[in-house]
Amino acid sequence: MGASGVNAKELVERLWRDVKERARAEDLTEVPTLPQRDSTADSATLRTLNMIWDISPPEPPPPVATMKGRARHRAATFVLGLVRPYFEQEQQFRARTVQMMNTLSANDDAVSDEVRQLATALRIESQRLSERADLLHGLLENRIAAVEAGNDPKT
Amino acid sequence: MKVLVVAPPQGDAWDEAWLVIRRFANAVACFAEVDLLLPALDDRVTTEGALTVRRFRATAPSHERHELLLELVLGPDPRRGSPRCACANRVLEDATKALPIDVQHELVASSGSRSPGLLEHLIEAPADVVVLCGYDAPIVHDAVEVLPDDRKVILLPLATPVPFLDLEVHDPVFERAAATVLVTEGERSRILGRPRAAPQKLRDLRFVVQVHDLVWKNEPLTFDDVPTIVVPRVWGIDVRTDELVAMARDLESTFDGRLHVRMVGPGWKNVPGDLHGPFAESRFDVWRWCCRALAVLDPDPGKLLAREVLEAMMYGTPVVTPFRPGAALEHAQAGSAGLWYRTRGELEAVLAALLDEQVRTPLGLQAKSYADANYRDTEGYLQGVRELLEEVTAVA
Repeated sequence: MGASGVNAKELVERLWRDVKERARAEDLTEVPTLPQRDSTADSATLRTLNMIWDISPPEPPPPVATMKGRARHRAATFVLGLVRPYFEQEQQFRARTVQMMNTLSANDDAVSDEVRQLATALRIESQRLSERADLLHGLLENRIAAVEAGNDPKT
Repeated sequence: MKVLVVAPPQGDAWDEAWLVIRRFANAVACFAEVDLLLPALDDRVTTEGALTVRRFRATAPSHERHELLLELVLGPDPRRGSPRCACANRVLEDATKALPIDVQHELVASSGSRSPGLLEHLIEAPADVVVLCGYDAPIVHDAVEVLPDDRKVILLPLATPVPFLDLEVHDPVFERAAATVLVTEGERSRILGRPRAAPQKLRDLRFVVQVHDLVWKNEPLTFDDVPTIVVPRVWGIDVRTDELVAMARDLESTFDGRLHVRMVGPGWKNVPGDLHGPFAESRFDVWRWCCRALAVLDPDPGKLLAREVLEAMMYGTPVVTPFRPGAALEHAQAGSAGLWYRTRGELEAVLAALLDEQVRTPLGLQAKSYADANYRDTEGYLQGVRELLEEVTAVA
């Protein structure tokens, strides 16, 4: 073969190797590559909720020395005294809701991290198994060739 | 000198075994008087060129019985091996080697025609040398049994890569021959791989394949300026044709107009119209297509000679072939004259590589160089035949 010739055996080996690597890459993409995501705990919405959840029950206006003012103060104190428990319950409910959302956000972030770690581990394991299968198949073929040639060291 | 050539029934012009037999007999006829003895439908004697062809009434081969026997002892479709690895084929080979000798005899007997008249003539007719063609032909096995001990025998084994080559039942045929004539290096390896092989008897004469250089100029094909893969073979109405048509369509779809696949050879009309062109029947037509092809694809492994591949190579066309034993793979590897594949993905990669002129052109030149050097030397072939006859007749 001249200097400008093509070594068919080497070319075929390279083409086969390329096809195998492409196939392996395609196999690996079957284990989905998960996109990056923002932390739920750090989201702006959750920060806002943590700032605005606390509502204070309304207070009666300050007493005024006039007759009319004192009457208005007493009426307001009476009405607000009736609705205060509802405000306090609402405040407690919002506090617990936001508290729960903070906990869920933290858990959500943790689960997300674990899923990504698992996908990475699965990809590595798939590759390792694929390489192992190729190795074993190659060894088997070599062993068969040796047996057929009468050169099997174990017989 | 008188030479009798015993061969299986006559094949058609595309039958490689028959081509090798006929060409070898004609080469022998340059130095001796040759009678070609064939099992046939009727007793008949004709003269064909330098050969006297004597046909003898023969029994019809029992193909159904043979296939049934194969299926019973080896399972369905015993000739089909794994396209990928030797470990699957190994099971088939082991099963074959374990066959009892009676079953082996039955397998041979049911595989072809037998002719008592031919055997009678073989015993009575004077001859300096007997050439037996086809190690597995029933007529050859019968001939070995009846041949007088003083007859000098040359064996033309015509051994394709099948597991049945190693069967013990064929030993007497190989043992009876003073010399075994080989066509390719692959055939040598296969016969050397037989148990009880006799390397000293092997004579590698190679073969002579001819093409016509004028096809370059006669009725040129342009392929519409699209690189074209040509698949030359005999096309029947069968599952294999359907498989290859589907493969051709898939490839054309994959390459999206950058590559065409065209089928040529006898029976080309059994292929859908868009996958062949006009005039693809004769060998001359096939040469016209192959000499202008990007590459010739020989999808059928296991051939003795891969004549169409060699002819295309003589025009500087590289070959693409499956990575399975056979002459096409041997030519591609020995001559660095083409590329080979195991899977559909590898076939696509190989064809894509050939679209690069820097790959295709040198492969084509190497193909031509290999084919010309090994399969175009008529004088060398004739000299080899002459020396073989002298050697065999000189044996005491």
